[in-house]
Amino acid sequence: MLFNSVSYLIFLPLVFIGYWFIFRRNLKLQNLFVVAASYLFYGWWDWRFLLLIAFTTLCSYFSGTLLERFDGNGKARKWICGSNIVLNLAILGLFKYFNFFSENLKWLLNAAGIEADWFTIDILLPVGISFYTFQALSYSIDVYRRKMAATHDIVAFFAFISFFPQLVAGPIERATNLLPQFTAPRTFDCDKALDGMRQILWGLFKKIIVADNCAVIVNAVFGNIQTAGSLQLLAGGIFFAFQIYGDFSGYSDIAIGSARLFGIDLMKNFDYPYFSRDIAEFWRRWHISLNTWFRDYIYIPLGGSREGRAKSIRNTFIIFLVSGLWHGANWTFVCWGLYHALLFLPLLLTGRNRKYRDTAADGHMLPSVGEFLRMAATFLLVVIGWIIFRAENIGEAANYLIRMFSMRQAAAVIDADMSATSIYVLLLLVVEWLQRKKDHGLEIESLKSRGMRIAIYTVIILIIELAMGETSDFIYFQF
Amino acid sequence: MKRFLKNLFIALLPLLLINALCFGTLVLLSVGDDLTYVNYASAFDKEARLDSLSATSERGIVAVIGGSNTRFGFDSRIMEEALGRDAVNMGIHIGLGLDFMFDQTAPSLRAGDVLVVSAEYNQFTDRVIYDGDIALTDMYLIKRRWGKAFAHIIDTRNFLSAYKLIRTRIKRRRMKGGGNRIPENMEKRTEYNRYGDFTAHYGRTPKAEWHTQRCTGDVDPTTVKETADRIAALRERGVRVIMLPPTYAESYFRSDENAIGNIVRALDEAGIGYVCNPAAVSYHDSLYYDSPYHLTRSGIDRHMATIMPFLQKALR
Repeated sequence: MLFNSVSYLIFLPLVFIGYWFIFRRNLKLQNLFVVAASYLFYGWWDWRFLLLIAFTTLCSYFSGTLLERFDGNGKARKWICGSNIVLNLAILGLFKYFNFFSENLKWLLNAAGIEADWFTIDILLPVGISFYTFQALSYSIDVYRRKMAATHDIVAFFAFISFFPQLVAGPIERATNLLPQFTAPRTFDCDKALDGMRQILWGLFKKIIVADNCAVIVNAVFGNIQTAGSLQLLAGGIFFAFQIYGDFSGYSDIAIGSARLFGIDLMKNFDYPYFSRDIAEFWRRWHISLNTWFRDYIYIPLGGSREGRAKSIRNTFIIFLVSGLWHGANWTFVCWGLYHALLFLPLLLTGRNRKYRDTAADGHMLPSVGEFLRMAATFLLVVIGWIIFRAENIGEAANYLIRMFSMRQAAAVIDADMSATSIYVLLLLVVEWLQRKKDHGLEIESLKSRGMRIAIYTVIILIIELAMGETSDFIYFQF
Repeated sequence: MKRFLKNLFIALLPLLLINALCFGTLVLLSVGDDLTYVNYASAFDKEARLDSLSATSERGIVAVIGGSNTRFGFDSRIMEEALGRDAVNMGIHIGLGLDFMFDQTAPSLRAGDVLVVSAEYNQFTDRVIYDGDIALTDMYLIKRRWGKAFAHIIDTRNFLSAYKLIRTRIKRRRMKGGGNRIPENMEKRTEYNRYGDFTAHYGRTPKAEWHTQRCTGDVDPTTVKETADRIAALRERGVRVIMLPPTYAESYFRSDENAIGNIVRALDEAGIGYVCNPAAVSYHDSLYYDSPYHLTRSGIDRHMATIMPFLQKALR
């Protein structure tokens, strides 16, 4: 079920009513209702996916209880936690990476002169598998590390893994944050719920207006790389940057907003990343839940930046490469990760990777010229990365970038209207710049005039109504 | 909770009012619409002929459905003589979609009748064609099926169409006062012959600029399946259904050949293959009027001469 569909428009209020009006007094039943609604939400794509998510949930739940049972036995605990990690990653690997590795191994063997009759499997990638697998892993690792106690409330645990707002595309929640919210009674907070509605609205604007309209241009440009001019290719890259941002951060906004309607707080996933002044800042502001996951569960256990320069460089490359591969089984994603590692490295080596911890133009309406140039340069570097990310294969990415930098004239007109979409992008940038210290673009409860607030909602919904096109999937569902 | 619901209601109230005003205006303008010259209202005439033939025809009916390729490209009198059945051309606009076309025609067909499906290639590739299916919303409003019209607006998420349709109705009102006030290039209900063939372009020279939606997309399996199901249901009732490829100008056909090939394969696999090779009904560009789907009068003659043997053979 898509957030930007009529089905969700009906589903959300029904779940809201059931949650607050019917099952409010019984926590267990309320959680059970969340699980049922979440499984309905997820099964909307394909009911067979439910078996897999239920299996993943059960494995992680029982690994937690076993870890508790063998509390004094370090070896057994390591074995239990390791088995759960291997099992989860094996499922992920089978569904997401099997064909990729199989095909590449076959290519390698053939290149070495060994005739290999390798096989691939025709298998459907379950929506959001990378997201809920990582969320499930965080629980057993945290119990293993004794950061939290194992839960004995299986219903709350099922609700934690399958909570529908963030099930298919995050934010990837930590058990330490989300699970306790399901084990404690929730009370309805009107202000929180109203702000949740505002955040949903802003997310819909980003997805339906910005991302979906950018997609039309991006598809036209990426479908005509051979005939497009350099400026058109650059525009295609820039519009893709806004497409993926609108799409993914829009999803996160709708997820966080929806969760707030149920009294649940999810972590922030985007913090205005295109106002970053260097790549390190960009990575602190983009897909925060995944990047902090990698930091906490891979980078720091590997030694982080505390064990010398060589290890620090190695760990940085590992993190970026894994992050690239997490996005999909394609060399373009690996190259995208490598590209960002190379951009990040100079900052790490010169100790400037934590230079920008504050908000751009803090205390000012506009950035200084220096700040603006740094933001623009960072954005362009990110755009180059997105071109690699968006391309079908490495050859296409290379061709795109060579043509973009070779200052070619267009050989044919690109059939896409950029003017209206440019206005939407500009509107997004202006609003988010003004709101850059807030949690989301539409956090306007401090605006005193209620009439003004209502006028803003009305204008945004009217823009959505009048400029929306065909329903499209969220890009990050495929990851 | 009360405060939340109250705030939510107040926040959404202006929007509800704006939408109610918009839809209300659209309904009011549609109720007062003079349909004498409205092209889509030719549906009433076509349906009336089909219903009347359904009640009276002794030699059986041959009905043709499709978008504007059907409307522009058939001479039903020739078809009637060649096939020995009473003919009716149901074609109006591609944007109405195959679902509507089947719904409009199928109930009036009896066992032994013939349905020729000459749907544009785009019907099998694009779920939403021509301006977000504004045509179908317009048609439902003309037929005063308000619920269907609004459900369609929501289904296609094309709220803008409501505003566009208000504008066309206001424009229409300004033109009220007789056919002579309507611009010559605007298609009118009065420009169809009694069979339902569009005839306004017969005496005109082909236009230099063509408008069309090219056929380049992937085949939509849902549409193919739904079409196959519809045809199977009709065949079960004894209606003979013939899939005829639409006519498509040669230069366009050549450049879209791969996509067309995919459609042909998909239809064959679904058991609803074309009665002839699509290349056989693709003619030189000079035989088309203002789109690669719209034949000129001489193009119609060529088309009729080409397809009749195929249809006759299929009905033998």
